Amino acid sequence: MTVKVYTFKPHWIKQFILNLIFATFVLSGISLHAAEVSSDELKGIDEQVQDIKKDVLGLTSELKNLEEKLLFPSNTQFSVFVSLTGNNNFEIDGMQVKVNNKIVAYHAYTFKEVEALRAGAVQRIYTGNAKSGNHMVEVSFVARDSSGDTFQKNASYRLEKGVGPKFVEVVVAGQSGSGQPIAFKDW
Amino acid sequence: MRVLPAIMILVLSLPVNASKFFARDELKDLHLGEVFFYAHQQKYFEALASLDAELAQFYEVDERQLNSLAKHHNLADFSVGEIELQYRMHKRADKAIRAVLGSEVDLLTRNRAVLALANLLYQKDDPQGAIVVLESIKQKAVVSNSDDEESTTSISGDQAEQVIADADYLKALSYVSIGQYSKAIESFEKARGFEHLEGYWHYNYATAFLLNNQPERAFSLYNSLGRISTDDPALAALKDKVNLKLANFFMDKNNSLADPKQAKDFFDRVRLDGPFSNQALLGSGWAALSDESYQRAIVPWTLLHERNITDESVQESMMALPYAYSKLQVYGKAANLYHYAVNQFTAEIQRLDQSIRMVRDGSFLKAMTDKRHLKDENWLVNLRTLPETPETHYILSLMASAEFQSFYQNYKDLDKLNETLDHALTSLDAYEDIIAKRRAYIEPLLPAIEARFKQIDSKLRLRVEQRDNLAKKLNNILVQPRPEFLAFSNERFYLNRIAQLERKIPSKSGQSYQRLQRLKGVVLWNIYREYDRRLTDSHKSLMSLDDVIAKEKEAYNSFVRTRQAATQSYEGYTIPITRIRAQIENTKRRLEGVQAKQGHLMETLAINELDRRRKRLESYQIKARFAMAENYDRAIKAESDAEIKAIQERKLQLEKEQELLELQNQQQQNQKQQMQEQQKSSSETNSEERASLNGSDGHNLNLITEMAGV
Repeated sequence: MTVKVYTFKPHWIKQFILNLIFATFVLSGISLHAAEVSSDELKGIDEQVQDIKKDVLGLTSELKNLEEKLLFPSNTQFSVFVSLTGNNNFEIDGMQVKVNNKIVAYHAYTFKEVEALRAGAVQRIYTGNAKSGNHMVEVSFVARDSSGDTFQKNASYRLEKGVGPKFVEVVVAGQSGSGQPIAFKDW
Repeated sequence: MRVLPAIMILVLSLPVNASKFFARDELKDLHLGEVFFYAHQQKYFEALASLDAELAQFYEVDERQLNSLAKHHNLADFSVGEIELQYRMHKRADKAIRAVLGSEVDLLTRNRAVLALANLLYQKDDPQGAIVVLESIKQKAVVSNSDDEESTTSISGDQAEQVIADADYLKALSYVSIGQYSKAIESFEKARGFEHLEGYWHYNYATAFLLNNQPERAFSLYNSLGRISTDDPALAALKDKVNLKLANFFMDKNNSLADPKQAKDFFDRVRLDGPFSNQALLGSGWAALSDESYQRAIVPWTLLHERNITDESVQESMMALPYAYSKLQVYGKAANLYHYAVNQFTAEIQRLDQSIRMVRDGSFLKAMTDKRHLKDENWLVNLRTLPETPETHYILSLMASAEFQSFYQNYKDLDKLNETLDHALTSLDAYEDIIAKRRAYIEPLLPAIEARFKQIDSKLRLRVEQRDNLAKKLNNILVQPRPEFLAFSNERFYLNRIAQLERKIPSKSGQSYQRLQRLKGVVLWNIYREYDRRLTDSHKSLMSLDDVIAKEKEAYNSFVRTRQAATQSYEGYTIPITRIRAQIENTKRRLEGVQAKQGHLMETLAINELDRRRKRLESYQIKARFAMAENYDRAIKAESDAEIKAIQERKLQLEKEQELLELQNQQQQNQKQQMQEQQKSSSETNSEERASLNGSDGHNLNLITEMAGV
């Protein structure tokens, strides 16, 4: 990087500043002269938006509790979560979940979802109800390896559902050489 | 004066994303993982809704340490603040982050919370507050262990260093905002060398020197930023911006250091395909024009002339290019270009009028919240491709401004919240339907089930009571052996019978009595002899009975739960549903009011900007018409001048030809004269001879004169 030093008379700084201010005002002047509302009013709208967000969040939370109580009561609730592990040398495209030989969920992944999973996040792919006792969970996924070839893996897991809610994590490791491509974790 | 640095400084939004700092293998709570799943996709509402529910549940339980969130609850608390900040809920974020700072958290989380809070204060135009908060960023902390001993912990690693660099950078920006430029420079120095701050750091560092009355250093930094080589689009745009600013500085006529040649060098550094290329091409032309190099000005302006007409620089070039041609006295070309410009401006004014109408009728707001914006990052720019939408290229600068973006985000958020509330209302309707169906199905079944349940319940209670009695007796036998208690039913029958017979026999010495005694002895013998085995068997039986009762109790509890669940599946929902519905409707009314205000504000901004551009075009159009007429006149005048000149030249040529002819005639006359003179002299000689012959000189002279006049 070449650095050239220019020497100027001291008064140039004021002109440069004025020039920069002028240039910036030209860019932002649009809104400054156009807005027919005061900054207090703008602040007021922003705060009202924040209050509404807060209220809707509260209502959503209440509704979520109501929904859970009504549709997925704790004694029958059963959820399947998906996470990724390993060295991320594959890109997951889709995942299918069967419970007792019945397809309960299928999900096609977006780029953002894959990125989120790679960053350590966990996806809830299915929430439903299951009675106490043993249930068979079958999972299969379609993915592409580093060379772009598509591959599919599947695995099954017998889970024992008790009185409380049941959560199962499906840990996908891709085409893992030594370990299992799909592992189940009971929570 | 405070507004000055705030305007000049380019603020890089500091990275705030909890999930970014979360190692995958450390996850101990699925629900928190789910929160990050949403947060990472910028679905902040869903993330906050899940996190709020999760934290509420965590703080409700008595034994929190048993909850899976216990290992991450500090991170979860902090994430609330961070996600709220991302969701532009500054009020709540402030509260949440301060709460984290007041609790016992690890040093890295604490530093991140401090940074997030300072960032929030800076955004709220409180740089002084941001500096005070940032003072609490630490690399080392003293912690007390369980034995009341103190030890020092320090943080290291990329994350920790990045947080500290971000804090120094933010502190520098805050110092600039309050006019303490030398302190700002010191803080900038500390944040030097971090890749994620590159470019912005350089620009702001230079600006700090400029404001600190060190222009040479500032200019050197700006200049070096204007020469960097980069593939990063954002950095390349910043580089172009710096070069453009420097070029404009040297183009400023009020500046005693104005130097168009120097300005042209800076203009030429700007990329031809970057966001500032149009301004640079326009400026480059004006720079060339300053020393009357019209030919050189035509080159960039011709290039610019072909670009998108909606750009202000392109529109200016449509006036500038014919001006240059006019100066080169190519009036016809200039007039044609002005004519083309007038037509273009007329068409654009019509488009602007149509755009203003569309904004007024609400098409703009409707298009902005079209669902396709979710898949298209350039949705606002690409709105122009839709029918019934305004020409968005005219308001790109407006739409790119932070203020408009904030309004747009708010509007989109409100739109989504409105959808959420609509969805919630539909869900409530569905829930009520479910509840009604459940009630209709379960309620008629309940009386019969209840009756049967009561029977089973009383039987079970009886059996449990019996079992308890047995257990009590067995325990007593262990303390005080009572073998008769372990007699079989037939043995008890025999003993009872024997006792009856004994009472009937009067003499206790008779043979019959003796026989009875022997019989009784045999029965008792068996009972006593088998006492230990029977006791063991009884305990075993009691234990197997316990298993049976346990199973019965299990079935009983299961039945109770199912019955309770059946009742709970439709009981107790009416009041909450009614309350939630009323709250939703109330919130919806408020939301729609605020959304209308926000939308109106955006429409006003858009209309004002479109109107400004329209007025500008009208002004150009008027100027272009005059210039076109003037150039046509000049072109016509030049043409008539050329014709006059040609006529004059022809006349001159004819005159010359006439002169030449006259000259030739003169020469001929002279020759004739000479000939005549010669003839005369010879005739005189002859006349004398002829006079002497016939005396006719006068007649001959007339004849010669006539001949010469022919």
